[in-house]
Amino acid sequence: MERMRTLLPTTTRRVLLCALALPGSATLVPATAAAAPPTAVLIVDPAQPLRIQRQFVERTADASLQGSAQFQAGVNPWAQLLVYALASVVANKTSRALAETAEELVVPTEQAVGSGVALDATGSTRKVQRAEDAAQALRPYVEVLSGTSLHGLLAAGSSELQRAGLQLDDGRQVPPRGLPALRIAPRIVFAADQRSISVETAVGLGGSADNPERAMRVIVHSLPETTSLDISEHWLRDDARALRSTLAALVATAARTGVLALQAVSQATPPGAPAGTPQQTFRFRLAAENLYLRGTLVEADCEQVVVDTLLATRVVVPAATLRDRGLLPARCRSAG
Amino acid sequence: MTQRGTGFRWLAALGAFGTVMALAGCATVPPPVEQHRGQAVFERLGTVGLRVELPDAPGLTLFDGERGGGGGMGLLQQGIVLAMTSRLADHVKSLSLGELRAIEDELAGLLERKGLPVRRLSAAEVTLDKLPRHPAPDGQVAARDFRPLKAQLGLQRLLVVSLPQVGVNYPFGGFVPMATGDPMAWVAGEAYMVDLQSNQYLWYRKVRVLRGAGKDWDQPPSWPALSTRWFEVVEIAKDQTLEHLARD
Repeated sequence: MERMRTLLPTTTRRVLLCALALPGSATLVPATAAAAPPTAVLIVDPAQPLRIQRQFVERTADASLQGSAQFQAGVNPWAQLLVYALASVVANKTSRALAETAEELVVPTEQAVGSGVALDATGSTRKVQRAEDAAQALRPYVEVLSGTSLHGLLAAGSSELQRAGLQLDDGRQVPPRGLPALRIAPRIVFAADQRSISVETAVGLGGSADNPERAMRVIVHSLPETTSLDISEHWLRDDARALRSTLAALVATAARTGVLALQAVSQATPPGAPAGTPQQTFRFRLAAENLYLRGTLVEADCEQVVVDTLLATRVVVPAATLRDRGLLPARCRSAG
Repeated sequence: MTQRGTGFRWLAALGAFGTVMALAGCATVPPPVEQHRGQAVFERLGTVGLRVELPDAPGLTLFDGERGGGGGMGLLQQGIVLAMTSRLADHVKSLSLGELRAIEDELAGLLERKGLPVRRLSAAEVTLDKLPRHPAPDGQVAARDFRPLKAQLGLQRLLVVSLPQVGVNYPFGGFVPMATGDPMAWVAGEAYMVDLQSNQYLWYRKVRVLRGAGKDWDQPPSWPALSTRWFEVVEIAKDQTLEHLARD
């Protein structure tokens, strides 16, 4: 329990406690005791798979130079132009085909876990990690979570969702009247060193799955695990108990963060920091990796820091990883 | 036989000429060697001068040779590229340089924590381009001659951060101008500490940090992905420089 306390923020720990109470925990905890009346229904199709990916680590472009076109003396310049144009067309086509292939590798299997690859999202830069290497690194996690759906993962923490005003539903029945539907499409991303995990998800409120009334993007980072020498052994021990609980907590936190922000919008109160709040760069240390966010501070307490970024994404990061401790309330600055 | 021998002599002469030309081509100023002379950097020998040179605003670099840019281009092609990228250039100029300027405070704080008093120097006191070139730079000795500053400023050592290339690197090249890579936020230059007595580097670090914004980088008018990367490279460049200097 102490270990869990050091790993996750309090809000996340509460979800985790339910998740760790083994399968059926939702029935062990009297859901009505602390549950607030649901304000939204979190609809998760039982067939919705988990999507796992390893973080892309970018390298500078220095190693991916492309030669520029230059004319050679003694050769017909029109012929050179023709060859150059043909080569450019072929190269672009090949590049697009490669990109599509890479994206298609993030494919979920039936009611199970999708395999993932490290994608090169930077255009001209090359892939740092070959797709096979990334798939190799993720394979143990994919295998241990095989057969676990997103719904199954969240079911263990459903009481926490209820406390947050969310009711888990499989979408097979019509939601209670007057309750907006909340939908998420999370993608689980392992850091390159696998010591921390983040969940990136679109959160849609109301409307249909294809056309929500309001939507936003949320990313939640876990506190990195730094005490284990063998990080994969840490995640996989006891049928991936730590991995399952961390994932459930992160997804629940993402859903709660999204619904709170979106409901604030519906009340004509703009979510996040007031307009005109100066932007700044927030620096976090997630084990050996650095995370930089540019945007406005929404909230900072002893547990978490919430930032609205330039990319219109709300990001939740454990406060203990914040490098500029001065941004935290005075009572929290000693920790971390 | 004689003719054959003559032919070989010509060939040998040509080879020798080529070798001489190649060596002459190599006989340029050797690049500085990345180094850190450990405790000598933080030896308590009096006040350390600190000079940080940055441009007035970030800029759009269009012809970076290290990314394949600029080759086969004339003035006409460069003009076309400048016109094509003018909106992005305007946006890049509007990005804040404040976080990068903070490196001066952070370096001063680092030296002071090591027990070294710091004197910040203005452009009027030290401008790198106006310093004379050192007669024999060799990678260990700075290319500029800093030695006159010893008497002029009364300092033993000078810490310099020169980052002339900051903003976005978007290389174009070719007779028919085409991008040779996607735009990447970047910070490039060098940071070093010079012994003003010997003009030798006590510490040298090349700075070149680039980060791409992904395939969806082209999002005018505010280019949020590229802007995010800009602020990221600023922090990375600062972190790398400070961490490299801080080690004993």
